[in-house]
Amino acid sequence: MAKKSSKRTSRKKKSTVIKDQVVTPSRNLQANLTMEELAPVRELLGQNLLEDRTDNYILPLNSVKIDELSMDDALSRINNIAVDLINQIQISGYPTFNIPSRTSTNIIYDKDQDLLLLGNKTTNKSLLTLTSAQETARLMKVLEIIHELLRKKKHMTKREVFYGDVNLFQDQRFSDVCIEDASTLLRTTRNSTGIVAKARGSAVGRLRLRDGNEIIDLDAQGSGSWSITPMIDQVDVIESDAEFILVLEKDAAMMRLIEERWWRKYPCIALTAEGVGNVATRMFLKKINKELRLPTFSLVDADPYGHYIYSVYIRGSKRLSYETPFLATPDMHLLGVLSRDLDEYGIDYSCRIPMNKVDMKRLDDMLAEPYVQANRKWKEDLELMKKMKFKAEIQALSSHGIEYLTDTYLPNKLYSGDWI
Amino acid sequence: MKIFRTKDGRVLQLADKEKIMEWDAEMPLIFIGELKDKRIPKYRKMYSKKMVAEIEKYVEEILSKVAIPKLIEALGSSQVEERRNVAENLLELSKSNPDQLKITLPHIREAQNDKDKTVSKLMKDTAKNYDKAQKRKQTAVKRKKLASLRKNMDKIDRDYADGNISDGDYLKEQKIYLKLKREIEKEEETD
Repeated sequence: MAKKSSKRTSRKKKSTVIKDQVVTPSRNLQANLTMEELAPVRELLGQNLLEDRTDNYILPLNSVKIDELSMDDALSRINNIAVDLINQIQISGYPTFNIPSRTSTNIIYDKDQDLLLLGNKTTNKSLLTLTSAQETARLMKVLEIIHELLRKKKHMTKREVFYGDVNLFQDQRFSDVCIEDASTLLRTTRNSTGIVAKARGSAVGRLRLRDGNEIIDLDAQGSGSWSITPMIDQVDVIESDAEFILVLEKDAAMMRLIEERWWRKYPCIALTAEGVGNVATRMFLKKINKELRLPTFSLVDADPYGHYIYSVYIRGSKRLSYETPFLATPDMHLLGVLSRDLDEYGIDYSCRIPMNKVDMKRLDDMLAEPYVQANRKWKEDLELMKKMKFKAEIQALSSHGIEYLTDTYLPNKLYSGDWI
Repeated sequence: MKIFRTKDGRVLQLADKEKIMEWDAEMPLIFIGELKDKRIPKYRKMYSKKMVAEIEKYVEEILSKVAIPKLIEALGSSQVEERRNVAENLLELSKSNPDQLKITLPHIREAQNDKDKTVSKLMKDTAKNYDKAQKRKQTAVKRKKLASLRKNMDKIDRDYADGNISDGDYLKEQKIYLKLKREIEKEEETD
């Protein structure tokens, strides 16, 4: 017992020693960098602007083709489904919906395009069996709502759909599933159905947009930022002198950029979804990345969840794999915070958090993903994280001072071209 | 996007003609108005004369080849619904952001004679809103001038009391001040 206790004490001592250890940055850091000095970004921008970005994406044969539709085209697809149901009732008396399966076994990874897509396996949902009658009744209700939205050219949030018939849906989880089923049934994106997620993301920077018939200047948002509208179909990029896009995981980091008016010194567009990218933010990012062809970087926490957030931006989530081609930004780079940055930028151990079992499990899951295995630099950084057994948040950088993120870290990362 | 680049690698991107063609009829003119009034003066401080000239040339091109033909086509459309739609959008804009209408004004005035009463009324209301907003702007400028005159009048009052200014000169200054004050009051009464 005494032996055990002394072992515990020595472990505790060791951890205190590590915690108190001051880390000197191993990287030679530059001060007062200007945009002109961020040569790797300008080089990447030059390459992007020369690239031919016409959509010549070919879907693998074993995947479902999803189209982005106008409201009229989506309406005609819903009408076709109704006609098909009537025909089934008249011919067999046994109507069923044939819906692409959204289970994990039907999600395929397209190595060529580096995207997660929905495979072409389907499931039948009958209107007449006890097991699926409730589900199909809910699906019918969602289709009815979509029909009305498309006819009236209106939009509705997922929450409003749920409140459309609380007794039928019982829980928003069920109405959300039906909304996704309805989109895959119509072989279209959720936004094309008029059902949108609530606004969560925000953006600022060197960009002017047309939202309906109004001009929005993202450089003139006062001490706030422009709330990314879920009705992305009404938004157009009209003018920008940005040279790159920066996607932030945290609102706190966004606040730092806003307070410093960072985009005025480093011409960029900054956006955040405050966590995992929601549909509207990802669609907006895809739109500006594609149209402006700007180098795009992400800044996330140095933990497995931060890397997961990055992965959702670049190749889509499994849940919405059917929409991946409309949501993913495959050419986005992971700028930081990388595990190696913790030493290179001298993040003290007092700002590092030991990884717990959940983190380690998530890290192993990430490392097992084929898209991580296929990316040497990414794999190396995650392996380093596993070896270090420490994680750190973006805010850990502020241990060097409030302006460290904006004045030192980001400019040095972009100056050195140190990204994945 | 239409791309403009500087020698040192900076970039400016503007919506291209193909995209602008897809917008509602009044939007291209609003966009051009924004560029001419707000953005180009800024570009003059940021970019070379040559690049600004290129941008201005592009703006003139979208004005003559896309914006004006598109608005004229929509306002002259045989479909009343289309004309009403444009007129409604312009009216909305006259309420939220009247300054953006400046460049479309000649066409709005012309469309006040539309055969359709609704279109004609909407256009009249739009022009009225624009005029009101301009008037309000002018009044604001006058108010500023009045405030500075008031400050000056305080000094003149003191000088007059001390006998440093003649009756005639004092009355002259007082008249200028009161005339402007009355003018502003009148404008605000009719608004």
